[in-house]
This record gives sequence, structure tokens and C-alpha cells, in this order.
Amino acid sequence: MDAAHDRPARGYEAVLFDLDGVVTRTADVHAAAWKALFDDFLREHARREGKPFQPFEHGDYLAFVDGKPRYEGVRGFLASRGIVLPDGAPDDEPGAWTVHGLGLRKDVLFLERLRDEGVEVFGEAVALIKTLRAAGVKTAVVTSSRNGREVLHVAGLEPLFDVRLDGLDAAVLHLRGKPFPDPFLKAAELLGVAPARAIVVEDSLPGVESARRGGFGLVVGLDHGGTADALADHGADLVVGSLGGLDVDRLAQAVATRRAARRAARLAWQVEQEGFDPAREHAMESLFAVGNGYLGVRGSPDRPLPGSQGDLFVAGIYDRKHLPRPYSEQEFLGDGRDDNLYSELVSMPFPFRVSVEVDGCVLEVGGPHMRQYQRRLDLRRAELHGAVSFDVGAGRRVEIRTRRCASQADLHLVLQEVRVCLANHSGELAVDFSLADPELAARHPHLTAAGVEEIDGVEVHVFRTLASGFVIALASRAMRIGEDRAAVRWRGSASIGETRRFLRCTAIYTSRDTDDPRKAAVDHVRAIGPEAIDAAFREHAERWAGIWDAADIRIPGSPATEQALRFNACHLTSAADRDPRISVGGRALTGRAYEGHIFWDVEMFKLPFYLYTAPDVARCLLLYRHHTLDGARRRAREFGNRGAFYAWESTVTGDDVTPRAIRLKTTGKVIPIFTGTQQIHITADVAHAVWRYWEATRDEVFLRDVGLEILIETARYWASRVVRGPRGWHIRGVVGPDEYHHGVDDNAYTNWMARDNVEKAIEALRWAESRYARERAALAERLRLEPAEVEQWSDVTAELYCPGPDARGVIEQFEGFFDLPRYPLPAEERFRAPISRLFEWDEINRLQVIKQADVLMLLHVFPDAFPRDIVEANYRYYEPLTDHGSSLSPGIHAAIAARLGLREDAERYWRESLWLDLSNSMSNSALGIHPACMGATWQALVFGFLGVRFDEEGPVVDPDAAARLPEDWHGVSTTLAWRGRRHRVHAGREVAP
Amino acid sequence: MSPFPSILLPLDGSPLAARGIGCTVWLAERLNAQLHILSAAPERPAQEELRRLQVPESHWRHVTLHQAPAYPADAILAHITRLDTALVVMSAVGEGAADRGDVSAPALVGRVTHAVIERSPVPVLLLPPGYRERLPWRRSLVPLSGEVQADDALALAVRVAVALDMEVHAAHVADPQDGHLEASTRYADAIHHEYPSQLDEFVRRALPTCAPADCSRIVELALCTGSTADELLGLIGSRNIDLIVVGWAGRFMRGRARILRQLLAAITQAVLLVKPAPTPPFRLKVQEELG
Repeated sequence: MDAAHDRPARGYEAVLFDLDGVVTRTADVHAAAWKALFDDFLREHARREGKPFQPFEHGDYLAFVDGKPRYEGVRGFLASRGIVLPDGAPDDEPGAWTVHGLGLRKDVLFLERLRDEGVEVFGEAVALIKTLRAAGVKTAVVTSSRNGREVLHVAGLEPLFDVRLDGLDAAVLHLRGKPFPDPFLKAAELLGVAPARAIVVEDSLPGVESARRGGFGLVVGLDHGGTADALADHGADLVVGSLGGLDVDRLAQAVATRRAARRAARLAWQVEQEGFDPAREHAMESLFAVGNGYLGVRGSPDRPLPGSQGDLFVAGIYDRKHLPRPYSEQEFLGDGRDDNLYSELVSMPFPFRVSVEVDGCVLEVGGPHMRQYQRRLDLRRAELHGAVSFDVGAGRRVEIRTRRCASQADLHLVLQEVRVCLANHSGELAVDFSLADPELAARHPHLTAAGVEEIDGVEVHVFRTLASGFVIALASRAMRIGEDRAAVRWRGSASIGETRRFLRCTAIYTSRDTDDPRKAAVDHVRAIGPEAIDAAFREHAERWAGIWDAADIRIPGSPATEQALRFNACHLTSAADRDPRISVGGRALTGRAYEGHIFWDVEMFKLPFYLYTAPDVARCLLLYRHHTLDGARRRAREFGNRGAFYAWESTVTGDDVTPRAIRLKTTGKVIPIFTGTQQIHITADVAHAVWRYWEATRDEVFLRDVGLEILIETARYWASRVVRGPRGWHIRGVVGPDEYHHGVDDNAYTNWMARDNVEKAIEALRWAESRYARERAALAERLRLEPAEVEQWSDVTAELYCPGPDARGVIEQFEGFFDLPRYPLPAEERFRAPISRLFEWDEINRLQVIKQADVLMLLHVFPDAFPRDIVEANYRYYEPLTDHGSSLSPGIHAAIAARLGLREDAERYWRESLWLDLSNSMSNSALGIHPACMGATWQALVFGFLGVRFDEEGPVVDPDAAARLPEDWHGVSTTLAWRGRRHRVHAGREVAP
Repeated sequence: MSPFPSILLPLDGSPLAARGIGCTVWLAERLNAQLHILSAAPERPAQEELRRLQVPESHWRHVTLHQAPAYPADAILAHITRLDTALVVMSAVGEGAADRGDVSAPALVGRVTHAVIERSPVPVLLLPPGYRERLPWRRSLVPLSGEVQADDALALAVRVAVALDMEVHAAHVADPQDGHLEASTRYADAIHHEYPSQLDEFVRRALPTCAPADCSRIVELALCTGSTADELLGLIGSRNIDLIVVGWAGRFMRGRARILRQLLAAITQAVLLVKPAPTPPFRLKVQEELG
């Protein structure tokens, strides 16, 4: 087989070797020369300064000198000793007290030793080089040493290399030294080989880093002992103890493995769709939504299909529920949300709408001219990229590339880039950036158009919500690169192969932000030119780089898991703003389901992610509960209680927007909704989150000014909600997390959470008394909190009945649960609960089938309250009864199973939870992504698999965590925020990078 | 755009086949479609053949006659392609049934029709044995199973409804006898949140290219539990349905064909059989794609 034929299979064409330590053993000679140089210098320096002499150590050699250009070595080491010498000049006398003088002196010492003692050559290296050359592989030697040629000459190695580049060459060519990639890149260039098709063999850390930065196809780190991890950390793809085990094929295999790993690593930072299936389009629109917490936009094509749901949602913009479609098959009855002005998140027109025509041919995704379609969510930057190819007839190809984002740096802006290329012909191009939706009333029934205008090429749309009266303004400014003006419509000719590039920014303001949203939106975009839009894209990307520093989770060995976790983190981050007036709805800002309502899942499922990655976001989510405290107070009064009773479903006012009942049109059947009146544990969930935030941040201002009031009012609610009974205080007539059972007494989760709520209120009051007595007194006066009331709370905490384990170790979910008949749960109903379970609510209420983790949720929330055998007994009891009719359930089961070391169960539930949206396993991702499930998945990893607990110093990983990880994971690494610092956590089978 | 720019009506001279003439002419006029009549009998002068086929003279100016002496099913299928036909109108039974003398108790679907509806690449408007002309069409019924072919049926039903100014009634029946519950009845986390939205999506995912105004032709999604055929028959009667639009995989003896046979035996309305479009290539690069 000739070399040319062999090339594609081998995957590389050249190997570049470092010299010292790889081919020759001059490191000892170098080290000795450096030591002689610096010891002489340090001795004299100490004498002159009158200080004790501290010799040059081997550690100094490794840290400051090894592998680096000579003068950098001198400078770096001297700096480490606090010594500054003038640079001097290359013609300084060797030994002069300048950087150059010392460097030149080192050369003299080195060459003296070299000539006296000769050069030791690594036979394995020479053998490998000869084998490579015999196989047609080019070779080069790249060294920082200015004596490289001398060494090669003395050792007789010159004929083994096609290219020889040493420190002298680097100086002449003005190349930056290692760890910059310049020397290796120059050598590859001289060899005529692309870096990606070349291998570098190095033994020094700067050398390995230099090769990594150069983008070489493979970086081989040669470990002389104890540096394997550091070499890998600096970028070595393959670390070997000697070159003896390497040959042409082994290197080819390593190149192929590395290439596959790099591809997987790249793919793990994106979610890509290839091809277009209209039937999946609504689900894809959810997955590919972009957002920044202030707003969210579903991922419709830039020119939406007529049936696209390209909704724009702005957090906090709600309106009265619009009439359901005729085929919605349900009517809401009673005094629920029908009358509430803020009961439904408002969908607004798509802000990325753009229409492209070539030679009069309209280019539609899914239309007759489309040939290829790709949509890709770049997770690293939270940018959505589109690539569509069209054939406009007679083989004339048009390529459209787009990208868009909801700016993290400027929350009112969405940014868009459109590139159009007539690939193989010239023609007339028309691009229309108008946001006008021809069917506004049908698509966005909450809105009425309140004005459309064009001002200096800026298109402005103003809408008003029908009932709640919010005003929303969108101002869109589009520009073609090369033209110094904005225009809504652009028309002109395009030459063959030419790419026309357009940039657009659209500002969105509402009357919640300013009195004049129209003016704010127009002013915002008016001054923005193309450079500013490019800059805004960059600022957005920089924000995301910071987000990933705090939130990324590395799982070496499983890029697919990394991808899914990043997808989840991307959506969770995109869901939350830092506006204390709003929180994260059931499907965030990605879909209409749950109507933007805010549930307990914010505090119990999503908030931990924010708390330990972006605590300021968690704080704002809690401020929302403070902001809506009056609504919760009204609700408590409505039910004859005191304090604050948080609504099961709330929007901007805190009032409950849960309906009381619905009627099915076809059958006339009325189905009561009990959650609104009975799922009262949400009040304790909020309090729990307040305390959790306090523990994680020690944010005293928050606890003093916000948290304390929430804790007092919620404790006050529980104290008025409990009733006296045979076992002390009881809580009757509730719905627990398992929503299949209503009107139950003493739900274990509810009672435990309520007791915790009251206990924490008492503790917070004590803390405030000691730290902020004046503020505490003022708050107590404002809330009319008397000491006697707090005394009563103590009684409640002491005597509230909290069900504990029975003789089997099982906690009864609620009073009488054990007496209910078992329900034989068919396997096909697990994870896909039939809707009939909700229709037959009364029958299901009397059976032992549960919707989601309930007692297990209790064990999850209080991980240290029960010993392992109790946790296991409950898991064994309840897990078979659960149909997981909620996306919240699998993650909690994964967390508990992982803690118990039940690997098979843990992995099964984890996968179900992790890929719930990406696999559309519930068949309902079209309605929006499941952020609470994403939060549960994160918790299962951190608190389940890693078993993280927190002490005063920070997070502590369970020592047994590594054994619990799935087989294909090499480890898990992330960071968690705790009391003002980010702490690295890691578990794995390998050494922490 | 008309859903059927070109319509093919195969006739064999039997009264059963001729029952479709009135409906087909009406459709062609309303849709401004080309109307092709095909006879697979030995060639005759055109007018003579039209008389034999029982095409009233008043319709002659609207039609193009094709005569192709061949096995009828082969001739029909060949002409679907040759004429770029968008719709074929077939009587469930024709000359063969008459020849066998079983007009009073005809087989549900004759051999020729059977072959055509299994192999036709375009929708087939099937006239059941008990067919009675009901013009103009005002209401159609689309049974939704949650499967792709049902989605395509709904999409076509909406296009037809827009073109002919009709209402569309969709229906989903969960049949306990099937041993499993149907697609729309799964996984509703909260009945008042996901269920309405899921039903909405159940309808709208079928209509990616339909504008909201067109979708508003759908006036109902009826949800029923029980025997599918019985429930559908009940709806056909109570909603005064004129046309039934059915997603159709093309195999008459398999799967849901049992329900179709039950319907054909009992109804007097035409049935539009819609074959699903090929599933487009699609990949979401997650999980195993990454390893």
C-alpha cells in the first residue's frame, strides 16, 4: 500500500516532537545548568541584601523554567523570589545581572556541560521516529532551547527530522514561545501539514498547552513520573510513560478516538435538528425556544408556517382567560379564574419574522422549494441557528443562514442575523422584516392592535391586552451590512455566490416597565447600528460564558448526558429574570400550557438549581413571594385563617387562579379541582425555600427585610389551620403532592413541612432578636405579633402530629392510606398515566395508586431526618404504587434510589427525567418544556448521585458517590455556590481535573 | 388552492357505479376541477359510451372521457398517474356485484374498488353500498386516532372544508375493547391545564400549514368512550354528517379496517380515504447520537 493510499485511514501526516525530555535527555543538563546559574546568583544576591541564601530547588525548575523560553524562565523565577532585574540586551556579558545576562550565562553553563558529558538519547523515541518516517510520516523537532541545533548535532539526530525549529529560529521569526502555539504551528506550516492532521509529542506542561492551543490532531504527553494528571489537565489527549508502546497504528487509533471525542464534545454543546417534520414542529418550537427571563420566544422558523406557534411571552404580562377553542372540550365552572384579570400568560406576535423572496419565489420552510433544513441550539451561547437550502427552480440554489438570541446582557432586546446567498446564480432578492401578523386576532386573542408605524426605517407595533390593559411595544430595526440605514423591506439584486447579511434588533417594552413603552422601545433601537448589534451578540455570549462558569456540569465519558444537562441548564437560565414581581411558570416562557401560572414547583424543584448556581436569581424568586404576600393574606382570610396562605396557582397579584371545577362538553361530566383549595403545602414550601436560601447565602438583609415576614405570616397560617385531635394538632382535608387523593387528613409531607415552617419562623425571630432587635420589633408591631402568639407556635411544633415510620419502617402517606385497596398498576400505565385517572377522580381517591413522590418527597426534602433503612422501606413500598403522572416524579425517585445505591432504578428514573423533553417522552413537549422536571433532574444528580450536603465550609460530596455513578460516567464535576463563594465539587473514578 | 384540481371517476355502466356521478360533477364544479371519466370496457364512440355509463347528457360538457380496455383496477391506477389526478371517486361495489346478482345484499367492497383503495397514491372518495346523495356537503367528520394518517386526514378535511364552505367535526374514541387507551388520553398532569392544551395540540399538530382562520372550520372535537364504530355512527347521525374523512394506511384487512367495514355497512355518506404522506427525514441529535 502506498503512502497516499494509506493517508485517509491513518488520520495524520506528521508528528512533531519536543526535544528535551522527549528525544534527548538534556533536561538534567538543563536543570543542572539552571541550578548552577541561579545558586551562584542567589548566593551573591543574599550576601548583598544581607539575607539568608535560599537555593534554587527542583520545584522551581518545574514551575518556572522547564519548557519555557530562556528569558521568560529567568524573569518568572526571579519574580517568584521578589527580585526584579533590568532586561538588559542580547549582547550583555554572560553573567551580568540582567535578564539577558543571566540567560546567556545559563547557555554557557549548559554548553560546557553538554560538550563535557555528551547527550543522552531516548532509544524508544529514535525507534519511533524511524518507524514513522519509514511509513511516510513527516517529522519535526520543536524546542524552546536556543541550543537545539547544538544538541541535535552533538547527538547526531539531525537526519531524523524534516523540520528543525529551536529557540534561535523562534527569535528570528518573532514567534511567541510555549505555551503559545506559535512554534508548533510554524513547524506544521514548514512541513506543509494542517495542524489537525499532525501529532505533537511533549513532556512539559507549557509544551502540551501550546499544542492544545494549536488545535493539533493529537497531543501525546510523555510522563516521566507524577505529571500524568497535569499533562492531561493541560490538554494531553494521550499520556504515556514511554514512547516504546507507540507505533504508526497506535497513534492512528488515538487520533481517531480523539477525533470522535472532540466531535462528541462539540455536539454536547448543541442540540441539532436535521430535516423538517411538520408533525413535530410544535414540539421543536418548545425545545428551540430562546429566552432571558424577561421574555421568551418559541423556536419557530424565521418565516413561520401558518400553523406555527411562534409565540413571544413577556414575563408578568397576563390577561383574562380567553374563550377556549370550540374543540377544547372543556368549560371552567365556578368562581375560579374566569373573573381574574391576570389568569393567562399572553402570547404575542413572533419577533423574528422575516420573509425572503428570490426572483419572486417565496422561500418557505416546509414549502415546495425547500431542500434541506437544519436548526441548531448553540447551548454555549444560547443562540438558535438556522440553515435552510432552497431550489427556486432549474437548480438555482439559495442558502439562508440565521441566528437569533434573547439578549442576556440587555433583557429588552432580541437579536437576529440573516444571511442570504444565491449559491449558483444571480437574481433579485427581497427581504421583508415586517413583524405584522396577518392573523393577530386568531393567533393572539388577548391582544388588540393599538398602532403600527414606521419611523426612519424602524417598525413599531403597539398592542394592548383586552382585559388587563397592559401596553406592549415592539420596535424593530433591521439593517443590511454595507448600507447605513434601517429599512423594513429591502430589495435589490444579488450576484452569484454573494452573501447578503442583515442584522436586526427588536426592543420590547411593556407598561409594567415604563409609562411609555412605545417611546422606550423606539429609543432603544434607534441608535443601534450594525456594529452595535454585533457587539450585543458578543455581550450576550460573554454573559453566557459567565453563566456556564457557574452552572456547567462536566461528565467525562458521557457527552450525551452533558448535552442534556446543558440543555436543561440553558432553559432554566433562560426562564428566570431578576424581576421580583414575577416568577417562573409551569412551562416557563416556552409554551401556553399552564398559562404561565406559578406553582410550588418553583420553590421545591427549580429554586435549588438557581440557589446553588445563581443565588441572586433565587433571591428574586423569593421576592416574588414577598411581593405577593398580600394576595396570600387575602386568601388566608377568605378561608377563615390568619397569616398568609399562598395560592396553589398564582400570577402577578398572588390571588389564586386555580379553577374550582371543569365540565367536559361531550359527556357533561363535572370534574372538581381540589388543588386550589386543598393543596396547602405550598405555603410551607415557600417558607422552606426562604430558609434554604438563608442557609445557603447568610443574606442577612434578605432574612431581616423579606424572609422573616414570610416566615411569620406562613407560621401564623399553620397555627390557625391546625385542629385539635387525638394525637395533638392535626391538619385535615388536604391534597398532598400526590394529587390523586383529596380531602385527606394528616398528609405526612404537609404536616412535616408545616412543622418545619413554624420551627423556622421561631428560629428566625430569635435570630432577628439577637441581630436586629429594632427591626424585629418594628415588624412585630406592624404584623401585630404578640409573644403569646409565638408561644402558641411552640405548642404547634411540639404537638403537631407528623406521621412517622410504622413497624415496617413505612410512613403512612395520610391517615387511612394503608387501608385503601391496592391498585394493580399495569406497566404500560407507568410514566404514561391515562387521562381516565383524572376523570375517575373519586374512584382513584379510594385506591392505593399515587401520582408522584409524596412520602418520598418528604424523604428528599429532609435527607438527614431518617436512617437509610427507613428510606429504603418507604422507597420499596411507594415506588410500585406510583404511576408518575407528573414530570416532577421521576427525578425525585432517581434522587432517592441513587442515595440508596439502587443503581438500576436510579439510572432508569434519571434517564426518564433527564431526557423528558428531548425525547418528548410525555408527548406534551409541544406545549412547552418542563422546567421543574429539569430542576428535579439537577437535584437528583447533586443530592442523589453525588449525595451533596452542606456544612459551614461548603458542599461536601458523599464519599461513596463515585460508586453510585452510572457505568459510562468517568466522573462528575461542577461548582456550587455557598455563602458567597463558588465551591468545586467532584466525584469520579478518575482524579479530579 | 383547490384540494382536488383533477378528479377521476371510473364507471362501468352499472347503476351502483353511476351513483357517484352527481356528487362528482358537483365537486368538480365547486372546485373548478377537471373531471375525467374512465371506462375500462372495449372502446366505443364517446357519446355511446357516456350513455352506457349512465352519464346524463347535461354533464357531458364538463367531462373528459377516457377509454382503456384493460383490467379495470390496472386502468384506473394507470390513469391516476397519467392524468395527475388528485382524487378518485369509487363506488364500493359496481358491475361485479350486479353480475353476481347480489345488488340487494352487496359485498361491502368489490374487487376492483378493493384493489384501487389499497394501491391508489391519491385520496379515494368511496361510496358505500348504502350510499345516498346528500348535496351540498355541509359537515364532515374526521375520526382521530392520534396516528399520523389521521393527522393527514384532518389536514385534508380542513382544506376541503375551506374550499366547500363546510364544518369539520373531529372525534376521538377511546375503545376499552382495544386493550389500550388512545394517544390523546395519555399523560395529563393536570386536567384543567394540560388536557385542553393537549387536545388543542392533538388537532393543531395536524395542521402546520393551515392558517388559524382555516382551522376555525373545526367546530368540535368530540371525545367518546366505547365501541369506535358505534360511537362514530352515533356522531354521524347526531351531527348530520355528510362526509366522513378517514386516515387510511392502505390495507383493507388490517388494523382499523374492521371499524371502516362496520361503518361502510351502516352509513349512507361518502367516505374520503386519505393516505398519509411519507414521513419526512428527521433527526434530533441527542442521546445515542452522541454516545
